[in-house]
Amino acid sequence: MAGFVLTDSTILVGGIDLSQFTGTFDLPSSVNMVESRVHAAGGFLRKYPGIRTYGAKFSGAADFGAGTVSTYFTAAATGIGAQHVVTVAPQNASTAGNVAISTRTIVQQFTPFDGAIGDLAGFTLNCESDTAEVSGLVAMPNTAYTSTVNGTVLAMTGPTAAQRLYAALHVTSVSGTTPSMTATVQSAALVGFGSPTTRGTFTAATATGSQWLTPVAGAITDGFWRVQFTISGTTPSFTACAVIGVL
Amino acid sequence: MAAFVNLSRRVQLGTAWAGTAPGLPGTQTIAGTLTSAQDLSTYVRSGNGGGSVNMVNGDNFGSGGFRVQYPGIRSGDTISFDAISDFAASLLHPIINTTLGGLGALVYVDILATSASRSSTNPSFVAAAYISQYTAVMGSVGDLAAASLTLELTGAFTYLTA
Amino acid sequence: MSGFTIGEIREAVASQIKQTVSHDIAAHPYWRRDLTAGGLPCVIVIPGTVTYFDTFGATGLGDINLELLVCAAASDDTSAQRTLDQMLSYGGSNNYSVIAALIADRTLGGAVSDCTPLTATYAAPPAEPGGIWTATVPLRIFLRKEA
Repeated sequence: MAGFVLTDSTILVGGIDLSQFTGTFDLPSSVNMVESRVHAAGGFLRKYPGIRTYGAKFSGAADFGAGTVSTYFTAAATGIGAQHVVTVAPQNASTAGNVAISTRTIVQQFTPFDGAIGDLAGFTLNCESDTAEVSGLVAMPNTAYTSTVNGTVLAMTGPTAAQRLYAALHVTSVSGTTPSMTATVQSAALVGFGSPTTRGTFTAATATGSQWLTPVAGAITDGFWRVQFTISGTTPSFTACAVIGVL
Repeated sequence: MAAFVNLSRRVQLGTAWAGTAPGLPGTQTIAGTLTSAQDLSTYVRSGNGGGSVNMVNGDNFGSGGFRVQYPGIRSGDTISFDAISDFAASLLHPIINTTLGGLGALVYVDILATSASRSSTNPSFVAAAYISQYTAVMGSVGDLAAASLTLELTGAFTYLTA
Repeated sequence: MSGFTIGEIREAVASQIKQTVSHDIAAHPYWRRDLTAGGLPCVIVIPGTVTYFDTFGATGLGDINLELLVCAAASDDTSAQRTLDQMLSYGGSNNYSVIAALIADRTLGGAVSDCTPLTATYAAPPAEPGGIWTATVPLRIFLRKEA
């Protein structure tokens, strides 16, 4: 991957695709540096990395239409204080294997419309992470799924004993009668995926929203991974995206 | 509704509320409208509502070295209005200084993105607030005389669609 | 919605003005060298800067800056200026107002997200007596692309 211009990033927050509303995003990450002032350090200050913190900030064009940014984050259930998974795929989440950065967050601040007279009304959204942030891969591209499907097999080194497998799921649109979708993360030793092992199963999704899989501890030596969507119901359709990563 | 240019934001303040007012103690379901609303839209050039939640730290040895935090107290963001100064009778300065009670007064706020009626595509941001800062006139020679008003929100706030 | 089709946007601007201004004003979606062709007063749509990505995604927001060239002429300069003033005025009962015509429906019949005139600039007087008086009205039009 070389340098690239941002034009088609995919931004998913909870059960809404924010891409078409967002003009700017920022994913700050930092570690708290803890000082150690001790003798026998040559007169120099020693520091050690402590707690890691992550955030996700977005701004763009306000919109109060049905299912749009200002409507979604002013609703009590999905507004400030709500927990949402955030996924940003800088080049887009339309292709399996593209890089995607995911974390679980709490909506810390939201301004539904701002700007002065004559400006395009904007929004600002600040989310603060309450867990790890993982740089992973798009396992199930952001699109509509209407039947059970296996995702593309991805080559990814499994977590070592000191690492964990992470996975995120976004569902941004659901239709049909009694629709239900269960996502599972599987791994295999060979690319043929002849004998897959299920490493994690999301809760069955029946409505829009997001899920953060309970991290799976390593060591897992398998080098090939995929996500499977098991879909049931009458004429079901789920617009969804899944991301997997190791940290 | 689609993206829109700020042209007709409606900013109203008042000292009384009909219904269950924002900012009341306890768990309230806010509903109703301002009574004797003072429409400041004609004077205001910028200023809008928003909300934040205080994040409470929950770091623990079992969190893998990652910050753990939980949503705590919610608060309406401080609102700062840039306005055009006007000292004429029944206009901006008398409204703020006399009708609304001036610095330190408790007011109710109702801000809509456009001048249309409340609806799902044009909700009212409503809150209770104290006038925490008011500058009646400022600016340099040759400038349009400006005013500024800051409201510190208190208690519950919400977005009303009806 | 027409999507990010520049020709359709120009046509929508001209159509909105033509249909809404009650006085007979010619509205041309494309530049013409002879400003008098088609009659005066008239409005001509001239494109400027196009921004394809204000927000992300195939259906993200973009914007196009158009400029309206508002033209008026008469046998005497005063009458021409009065006509131009009426076309650029806003509010009250004014059946010449191009500004009011645009603000009446900022979506241009659903073709765009927002089209709002914010300023107008009068040009210098014409060199010849009885010449064409003009002003420019910038329009920044926001609309979503369609995949």
